[in-house]
Amino acid sequence: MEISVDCYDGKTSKKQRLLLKFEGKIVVLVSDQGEQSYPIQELVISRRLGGASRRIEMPNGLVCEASDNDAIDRLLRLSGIQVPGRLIDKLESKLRYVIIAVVITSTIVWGVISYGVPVLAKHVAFMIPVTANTALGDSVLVVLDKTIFSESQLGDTEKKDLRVLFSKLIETVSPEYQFSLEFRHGRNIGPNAFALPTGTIIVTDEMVQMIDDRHELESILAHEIGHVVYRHSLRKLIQSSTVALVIMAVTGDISTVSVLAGSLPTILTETYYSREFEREADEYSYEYLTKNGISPTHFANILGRIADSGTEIGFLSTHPSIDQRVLMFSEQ
Amino acid sequence: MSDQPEIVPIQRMPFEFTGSGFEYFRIWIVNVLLTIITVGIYSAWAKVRTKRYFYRNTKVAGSEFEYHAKPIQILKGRLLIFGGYAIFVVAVQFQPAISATIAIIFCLIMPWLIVRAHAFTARNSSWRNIRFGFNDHSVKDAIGVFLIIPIAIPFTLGMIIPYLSYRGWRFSVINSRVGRQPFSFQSVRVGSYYRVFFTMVLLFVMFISGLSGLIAVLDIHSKVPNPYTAGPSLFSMIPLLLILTLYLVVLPGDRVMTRNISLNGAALGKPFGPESDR
Repeated sequence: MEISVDCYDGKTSKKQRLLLKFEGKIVVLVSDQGEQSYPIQELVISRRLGGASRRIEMPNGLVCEASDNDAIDRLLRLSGIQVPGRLIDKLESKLRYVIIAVVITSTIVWGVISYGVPVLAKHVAFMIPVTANTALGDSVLVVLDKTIFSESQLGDTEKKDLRVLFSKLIETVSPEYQFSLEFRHGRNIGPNAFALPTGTIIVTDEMVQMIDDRHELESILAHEIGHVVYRHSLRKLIQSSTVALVIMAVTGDISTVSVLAGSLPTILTETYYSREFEREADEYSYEYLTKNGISPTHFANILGRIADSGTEIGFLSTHPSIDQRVLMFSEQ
Repeated sequence: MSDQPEIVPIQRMPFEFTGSGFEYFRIWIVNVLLTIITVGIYSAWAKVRTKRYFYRNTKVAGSEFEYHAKPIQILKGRLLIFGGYAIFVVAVQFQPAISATIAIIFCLIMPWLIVRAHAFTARNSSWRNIRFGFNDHSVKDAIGVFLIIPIAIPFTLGMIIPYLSYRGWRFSVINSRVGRQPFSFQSVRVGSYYRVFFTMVLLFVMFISGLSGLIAVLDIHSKVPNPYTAGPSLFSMIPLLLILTLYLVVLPGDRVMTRNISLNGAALGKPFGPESDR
């Protein structure tokens, strides 16, 4: 049995077309100068890789390239030599294995991103002392003050009043957080409330004015406290960096595309994750209300009123749908 | 054949690529799966397989390239980097001040690392059984290109970036060789890099102004969404659109165009240059 090969001696780049004959355990290379034989086990034959040609290295440094992959594998088997890398090649070349690989890989990636990462982030975030949350700082408030907010126009007595209400809410929470209630005029953002990782909670004047019942504000504040005690800022940080890591691990070897492939899913998962956080904060609020004998409908009421006043133009929702949330608090 | 150089006219040898998207996809998905299952260890084998796929399917004058690196070498290198990074993370926890020191050390050894990386790739690449090589004495050159010149970026308001890109490519090309024959970069002009740079800046500015126009028309600013009721709005999509423009159009465009300029200008042999150091 024989195959034709392109040979390079390693000294010059000249190509020689030669004949490679397999005679049992002996390989004979036929050239104009004569024949040279090598024992087959001394040859280094590269692994099969798609349809690419094979490289056969002789003990004296001569290299032969052969494009007939099947012939080489057949010859190796006939000579009783293990074909190197056969398992991987089988996985790559059989369509059914490729489909199985696609299914398993996407299932694993999906599972890791939607379950693994949040669970991991939660564990890590709760292992880290509270000071790490406060270390994230309130610097964002300085930025918000410069860009979005203006000074609150509420009266001092009203502020004091609400702070008393707030102190009642944080009584049962770990004293490690530096909870404080801040008021700002919301301008463009209207009725709103935010929680910073340190425990600073900001409520807009518009939100205070929209309140019909103090329990409504309580439910909003409880929701914000929920964000703090569940360490959502820290978890968000951990989650987005882990997702970036996962995406990088999966797409790492496609250099140019990976940047895009890395940024887009991160943005998409961010919305999914923050919806989960909102749900958790809602649950915290719900528990607080029921534990203190306050009807959860107060939260539903204020949400409904904000929605009626608001200008909804979102199409990728970070929050669970308003109907869903109102429903949760309207039961009972 | 004697070592005396022969006088031969310049030959143009175009690159040929014989791989296919689907074939590569199958290799890639198996790589990804095995990498996941082995918690990343297979990634070294995957890297070699990927590299080999592209090398074996790239031909010049009818002959393909070969990649020789052993997966175990790559695995060791990756474990080293991973270990170093882990130590860095832990060290910073206990001694935050140390991060600055480590960052400075990293910057200082970076040129050397770049030369090592180039040398590793070159040494492990061959064409027609002739290995590529990289000039080991190029660290000084690397310090200039990757450490000194970048300092000027802020002072020149980024205007030096195309020159830097030219120097980076020049560094890679002139220090590379096939066998004992070095590459030359003499036909490449800095001006070409500036042309690409300004084209891309212009493109980006056009995209930004187009977007701003759109936003002005839609008057989004007065309707910032309420986080209690709505998700990201068109307004918050702006950074995303800018990122997409940057990553889909500007950066790849710049990359491909500078790469074409550089590789098209690279020639084997040094027609006029001084004697090369081995």
